[in-house]
Amino acid sequence: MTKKYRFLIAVTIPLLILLAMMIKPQATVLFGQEIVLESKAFDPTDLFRGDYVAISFAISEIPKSKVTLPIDKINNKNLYVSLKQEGKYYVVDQVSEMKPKQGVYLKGKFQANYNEFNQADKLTVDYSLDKYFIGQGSGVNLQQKSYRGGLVGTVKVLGGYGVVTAIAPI
Amino acid sequence: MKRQISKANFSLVSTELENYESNGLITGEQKNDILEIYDVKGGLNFIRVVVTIGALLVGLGILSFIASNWDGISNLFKLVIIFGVFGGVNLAGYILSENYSKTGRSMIYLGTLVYGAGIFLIGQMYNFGGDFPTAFLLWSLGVVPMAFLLKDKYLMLFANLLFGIYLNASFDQGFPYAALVGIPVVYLAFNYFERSRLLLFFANLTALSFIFQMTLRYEVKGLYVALLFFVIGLMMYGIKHSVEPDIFRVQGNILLGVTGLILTFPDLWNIVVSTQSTRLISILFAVAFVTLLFFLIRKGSIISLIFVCVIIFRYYTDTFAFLPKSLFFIVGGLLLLGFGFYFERMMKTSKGGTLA
Repeated sequence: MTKKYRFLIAVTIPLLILLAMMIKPQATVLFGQEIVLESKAFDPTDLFRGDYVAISFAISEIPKSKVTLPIDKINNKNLYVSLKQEGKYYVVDQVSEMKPKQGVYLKGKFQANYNEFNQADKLTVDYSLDKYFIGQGSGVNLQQKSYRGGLVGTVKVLGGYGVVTAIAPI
Repeated sequence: MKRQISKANFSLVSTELENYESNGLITGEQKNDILEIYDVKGGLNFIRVVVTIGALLVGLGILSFIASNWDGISNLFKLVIIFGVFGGVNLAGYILSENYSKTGRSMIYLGTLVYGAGIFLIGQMYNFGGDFPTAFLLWSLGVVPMAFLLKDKYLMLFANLLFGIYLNASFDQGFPYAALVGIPVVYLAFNYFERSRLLLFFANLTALSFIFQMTLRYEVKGLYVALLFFVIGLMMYGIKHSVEPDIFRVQGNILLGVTGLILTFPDLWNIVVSTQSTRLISILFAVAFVTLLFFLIRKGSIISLIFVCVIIFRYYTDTFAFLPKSLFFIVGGLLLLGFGFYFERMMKTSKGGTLA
């Protein structure tokens, strides 16, 4: 292998990594189903990706009573959350260990929250849908609107993977 | 091949040789012959520093541009710019490497920063959630091939640092399996890059922080973590081997000093002894630790001397119970004075003992 080819390979590897990173999210944006979720938000900054709106979707909090699994099968586990449409928004329908065969569902990491009686009454789910990046300075406006009446997030979903595509005041 | 030594060492050797010559120990010819053995190692090259800092500034500017999320141009166009600039600077780097090697190399450096900007742009475009530590793993992964190809130890150091950031930030993620490959790679790199001491130093840091992350992940108690690293520090300092022992000794010495200091805090010990006896056991440990430090100082360890000073300061500010503290310090000081006097007298009587 000549020096030229080896150099070409060293340059191509980073480019391939960048392209590979885009496959899943881009496919979701293109082919995923669009759902609308209820949300709250505030406005911090990340050093490398800039300003963002930190989103907390209503579906990220699930009462324990909705889940039939024992607690050791929930805490720190990746589970599937099936969603159903109720009015404008999608809400939690049920939680399962197996990938649902149909319907809209998201994969998320579960965390149990304990109340003062040491009972797990609420479950927090991390869908990795907690950030929406925006132009510098434009977050304050969104944040104020969020305090007044909440926000709605639009998410594209494909095979349990979601990409936030829009955030807007109600 | 000539022996490579630093400018400072060369000037020391030549002044000493001039001294020997003027004393008549060696002739002028012998002096020149000896000086001929050496070759002064190149220090910092000014041009290289200038172009590297230039590349660094442009790269940081691009990273910052991405973070600004300026909506004057679309994300897709930004992505095209990133790909274009990445390709362009690498091509420039390749072409310039023939005749302008320093500028060429700085173009390659710029390319690695542009690549990082690309990663964060994609993270931003698709609103990836969480803290995104994977970004640093992918960044590191993309830098390694070029570092190995060009045998550039600074690129490798950069990749190692990025990998270290990933390891330390991935605590609440899944198990960092990448470390099982990454840590051997950073040591392999040390061997491959003409055994650069710089790379070994950071490879050790990466390995240590991996062990630390593991103790956090499996919720090991603070006492055992401190003891584990104390023992690792002792081993790094004490085990005799031929692979850059100086690096291991310095790192081991600092590690055992810091962890030893932590172990002198009583609260840590309440998992092995009752709460009333934690103070006693921590003080027993402190006495043993200071004895060890004195033993190391005798072997010429200046770092240990610093830690003895820190320990004294730590106990002086520890309590406002002045009377017991006064007694403790006076007794301790008198013991040391006594030992010192005893050793000095012993050396005098035995005429040239080896104690120093």
